[in-house]
Amino acid sequence: MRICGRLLKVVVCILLILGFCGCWDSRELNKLAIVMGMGIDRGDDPGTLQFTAQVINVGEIRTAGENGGGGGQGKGYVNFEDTGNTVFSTIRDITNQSSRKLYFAHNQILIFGRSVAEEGVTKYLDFFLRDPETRLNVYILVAQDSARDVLNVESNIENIPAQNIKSMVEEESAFTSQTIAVRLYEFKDSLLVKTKAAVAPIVEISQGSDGNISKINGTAVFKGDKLVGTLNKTEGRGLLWVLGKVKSGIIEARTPQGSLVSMETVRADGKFSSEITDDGKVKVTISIREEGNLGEQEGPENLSDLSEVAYLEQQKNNVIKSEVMAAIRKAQELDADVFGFGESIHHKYPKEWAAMEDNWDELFQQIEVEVKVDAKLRLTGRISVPAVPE
Amino acid sequence: MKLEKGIITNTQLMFLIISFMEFMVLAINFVYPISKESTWIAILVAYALVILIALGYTAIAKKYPGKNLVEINDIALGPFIGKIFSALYIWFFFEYLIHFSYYFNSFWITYIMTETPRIVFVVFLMAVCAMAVKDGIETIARCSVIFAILVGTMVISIVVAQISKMELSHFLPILDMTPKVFIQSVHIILTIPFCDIVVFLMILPYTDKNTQIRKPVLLAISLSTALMFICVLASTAVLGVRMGTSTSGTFAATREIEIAAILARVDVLIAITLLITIFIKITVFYYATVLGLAQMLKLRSYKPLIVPIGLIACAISANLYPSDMEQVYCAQYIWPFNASIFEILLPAITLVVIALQSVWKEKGAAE
Repeated sequence: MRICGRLLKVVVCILLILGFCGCWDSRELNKLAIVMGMGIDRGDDPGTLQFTAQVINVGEIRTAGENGGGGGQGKGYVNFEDTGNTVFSTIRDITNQSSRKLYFAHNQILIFGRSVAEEGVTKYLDFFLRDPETRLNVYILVAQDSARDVLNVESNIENIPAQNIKSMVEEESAFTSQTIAVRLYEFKDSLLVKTKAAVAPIVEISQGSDGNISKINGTAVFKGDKLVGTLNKTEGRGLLWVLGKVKSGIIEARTPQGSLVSMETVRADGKFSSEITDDGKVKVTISIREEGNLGEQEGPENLSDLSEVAYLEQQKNNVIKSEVMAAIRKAQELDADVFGFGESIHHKYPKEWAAMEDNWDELFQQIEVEVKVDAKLRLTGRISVPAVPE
Repeated sequence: MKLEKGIITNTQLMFLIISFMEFMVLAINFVYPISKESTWIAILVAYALVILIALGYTAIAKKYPGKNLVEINDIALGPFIGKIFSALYIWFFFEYLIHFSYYFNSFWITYIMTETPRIVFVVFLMAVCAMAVKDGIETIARCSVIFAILVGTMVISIVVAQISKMELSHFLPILDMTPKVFIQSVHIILTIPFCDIVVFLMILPYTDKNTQIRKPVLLAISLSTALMFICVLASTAVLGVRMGTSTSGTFAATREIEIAAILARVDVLIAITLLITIFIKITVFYYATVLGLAQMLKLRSYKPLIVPIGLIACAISANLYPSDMEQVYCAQYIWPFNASIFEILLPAITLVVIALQSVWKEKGAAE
């Protein structure tokens, strides 16, 4: 009897273990097509879309390693393309050409072709926010032309183009700070706030030394969910100064003698506060703190002199201020509140905001801006004076 | 005759209530679309109210030490009305049992295993809970000590991991809503995660110090409210406007954790935490249902009722709502009023009757 009881317990344990394998939802590794990047373009017929999924070709990646870095046997990725009316149905249709079902949990980037970006992206985003498999930390990008072509441009360093683009976005935002790296949840945040304009980096194809290369260049500005214009690199960094997202970057300025100096930003912080003035206008005060080192100088002068340092700090102030003003002017030109000034008014003046929200577009044009920059020059690097005879 | 021979300490009672309430710490989603980024204020208001109500519950229990809700009803309200009250309460506990099991399973099949039929989870969950109920209150209370600490630690570490994603401006504007919406939100918080502790009137008599129950109950409510408060503040600070669109705020906020590209996708921790806490939640309601029913029917043991009640609960909760949208609608607009009857109105009647009786008794003694 006791043995029977013990046996029963063992059987129950084994039965419970069976439940751990995931029941109906179990999917084994050899059945997954791991998607690394996705692109959405407009289809040829009106109202349709073209979907591109970049999937790792696991076998090829392994071969390249075994041949001692030979690499050239085959591509490390496969691009599946299909057209359809909705994102989900198009994705499912890819099962017709792939032996494995697409698996989205490792997806890195989502690229919108220019055509769909201009038409409005909300309807294409819904699937990625709703599905349990997709992740919210994928990077959103806009292709200068078509997303499909961008995903077809091979990288010389990385095996997979999507991985290459993802790394470029990260490196760019960490070291040059000329365009913003936007993740899906941040993008959704901007879309949910009526007055805030969403932004995303632009990826384009350009001519490299051997064949095409993909390149991050500029920032796309959305009004509502439609692409309305772009910020260039200067304006892009202006935007990042205001948002406090500049991590590093090079600022070029001229010495009193007229030669060029480049200074590296090491630390930066930016914030803004907005208020409604007595005459009903909106005033925004932007304060930026920046710290950096001297990175390079062209001319022969001794810049470690204290008066020179003060002069260069002033120059840096001016450059940052001009970048910020360029971004604001461009935003006003596009009539898109990329900074979220409206939302900060909403937070501070919830009562007044009700009347302002609908004509925020006009108010944004007449906004009064004050930029305060506090730039510091800290170090000169390994040499204090240039290597020229005195 | 006593059906439950187990005795738990007052500390165990405290941990039992904490782990019982911890489920809603993570699952308080129905109010997010309503009160959005001001949910934390609604929690504070609801907390003030629940302290008052909990004082009422403990007053009832202290008046009749050693008696649970069914016995109190019989003594205080007479055998006939008392039986009706007991039957209503038992139905209410059973309703909570099937609703929580449905709610948990829809979470699981929305986020983790989308293609698995609901009945699989219901059966597994109910089988484990039935085993716990069979072993009695002592076993449940001992589990709860471990679970309360485990879940508390997990929630705190998740919140700490979210710090880098938090933004204080997400709390603004404060209370940007009409009073009606705010009251609705408070009502939901009060009835769903807080006042379901009315079920502990079934368990309070099995503590070793029957007359000193006020302290552990209030302490447990305060601790789990603090945990819920931290959790809601963190989710609000992480999500901001996105709070209103997500079907599970805490889960969505946890999904965004990414520390140095290594520690990501820890959302499954939330799922595990939910799994642990739902076990306590369902077990307590299950236990209250079978024990109450056995007492009402004057059975010698509640154990024969475990399997039939469990099977009925499985069958109903697997098909409770035709869709999840209906469940959310119910939780927002119907359930708070339904629950108010059992959590506030009926105990209030009992309390008033008890008070009147003691006044009469004093009069009688004086005459």
